[in-house]
Amino acid sequence: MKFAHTFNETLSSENFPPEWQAAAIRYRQLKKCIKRVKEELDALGLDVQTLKELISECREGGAATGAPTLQYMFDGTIQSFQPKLVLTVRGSDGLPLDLGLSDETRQSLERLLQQRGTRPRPLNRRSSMASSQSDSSSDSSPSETSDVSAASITSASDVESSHYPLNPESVSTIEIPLNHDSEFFRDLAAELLVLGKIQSNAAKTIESEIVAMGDKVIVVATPQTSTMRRSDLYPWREIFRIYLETGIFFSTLEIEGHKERTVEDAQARLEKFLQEVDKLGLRTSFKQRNSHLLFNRFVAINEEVLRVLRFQAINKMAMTKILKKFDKRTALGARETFPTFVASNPFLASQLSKAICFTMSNKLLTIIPQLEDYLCPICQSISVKPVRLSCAHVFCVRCLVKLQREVKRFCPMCRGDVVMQADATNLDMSLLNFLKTYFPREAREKQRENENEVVQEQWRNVQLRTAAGEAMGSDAGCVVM
Amino acid sequence: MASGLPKRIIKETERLVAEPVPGIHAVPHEDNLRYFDVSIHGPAQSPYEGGIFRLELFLPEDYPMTPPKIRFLTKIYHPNIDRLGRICLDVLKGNWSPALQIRTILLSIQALLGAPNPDDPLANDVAQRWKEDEKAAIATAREWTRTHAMT
Repeated sequence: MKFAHTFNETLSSENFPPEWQAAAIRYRQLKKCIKRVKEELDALGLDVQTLKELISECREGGAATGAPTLQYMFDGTIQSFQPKLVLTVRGSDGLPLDLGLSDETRQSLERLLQQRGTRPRPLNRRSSMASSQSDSSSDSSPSETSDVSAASITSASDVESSHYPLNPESVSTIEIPLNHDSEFFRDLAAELLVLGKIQSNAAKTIESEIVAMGDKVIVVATPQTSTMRRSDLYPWREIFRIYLETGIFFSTLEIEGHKERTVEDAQARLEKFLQEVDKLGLRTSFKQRNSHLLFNRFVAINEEVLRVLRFQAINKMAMTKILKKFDKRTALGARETFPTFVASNPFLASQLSKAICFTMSNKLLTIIPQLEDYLCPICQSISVKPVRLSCAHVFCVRCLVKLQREVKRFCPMCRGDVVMQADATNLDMSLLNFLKTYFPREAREKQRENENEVVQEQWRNVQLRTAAGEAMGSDAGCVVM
Repeated sequence: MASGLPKRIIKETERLVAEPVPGIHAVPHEDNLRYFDVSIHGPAQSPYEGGIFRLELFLPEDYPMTPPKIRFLTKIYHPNIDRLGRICLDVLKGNWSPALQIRTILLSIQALLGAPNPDDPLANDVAQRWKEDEKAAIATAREWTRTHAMT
């Protein structure tokens, strides 16, 4: 199927807002414009084949050797620019004969040269530089040897080298104006600008949605107190944890290099996230009616991000396709040069999802503390009684006691000699209260585990003491935390 | 057995499986969850490149207060690894910290393969050779990698 058709189908079937559809890349018009560019080039004698040869010749090091080069470039800024086809002839005062141009091409270029007033000299007068440096190609251009002027050049290159001191450093450039070509790229660039605006507006709307939602989630997920009895802290924490783990728009794994995902992948992951939330029955465990509404809003925000990404992807593809088509008809290599030229356009830069995800994690996902961030680095459980050493590293009191008992003096995180100095004053009371408030269940469980461990240790000590007592008949001292 | 396993070991194992470190595999034995079969890929641009080295790793009863016990099972020519596969690495001994983990330790070992340290030798003869004729030593290391770590 033709891309133009697929593109239009996708635009209309994806439920994009009308103003987005209106701003989409006008693929069909651009395609027609390519036709006009081609006609224009043909009229100059620069058909695809000729251009291909000229450009590949200059890529093969023509610029370095001083041989003539043909360059296609974009000059200016994105807002105002001019695509240029520039023929540069070094050390020569006319069109080089060894280019292998057809007579018509040569004539039309010559005409251009004269119109522009750039060194209007006859074709057969040229410096020895160009011909001697590219003699191999002049051998292989039979079309040039047919007339008299060509014959005189061959001799000139031999003789004139000594007494023809034309400045070999002089550079002649012919700018070949292409009206339809300018039209094509100005249209495309203008469309990209509009798309960029639409996209950044959409992103702004989404971001303010996220912030507004954050404020509301804070309310429903306030920790339970005697006055505020119905809290959805736990289900929301789970939802956000799963959301973060799913890494919908970006990979969270080191091994995957935190790459941006494709739209299809992101879509699949969003579905997986929803399935997981349903599997754990998190939505049914909401106690507040508002939580349901907020959850739906959360899903809607994510779908909106996806929609923006999808719109971006399809337009990017349209641009790639139209440039490919352009190159096929003109051999000007715009597929490489144009995207580089407009790379700073916000529409093409892939910062959109990054910016949104940043807002998402800053203003929404982090408003509920996650257990992950409050684990003791030694036992990997919540620190019910967090001890902050003088180096500011925090451990749970059980682990710290174990370190002290074994006289491990150095902080496990920074190796500072601080462990033995820690005492009751190092207990971080505000962190303790915070953890109890936000992780009441985990704190209770850890408390129970600690108590069990202490009981076991005491029991072991009793056994040891009994054994020691029996063996030595004395009272072996013991320290129990 | 799993019931007696500290939470930390369970968590570390889960993460090793869910988010593996590139070039490092560690799988616990089903009948002893403190015992791991490990394989480390030789780092690129080192004499061990292309080799896959097998190691055994055991978490002692008081882990993480004491470091894991790790040994190379695949023969390797390296100044800090001896004939029995024992590894001379500070963080496996005096510089162990209970905040270190299986994954970080295995990364250190992988790094040790990339940066042999003949000034702190364990395999004395290897270290000697490494200092006297580094080129030849590296050639031998490469040779051993081919014969022992590429099957």
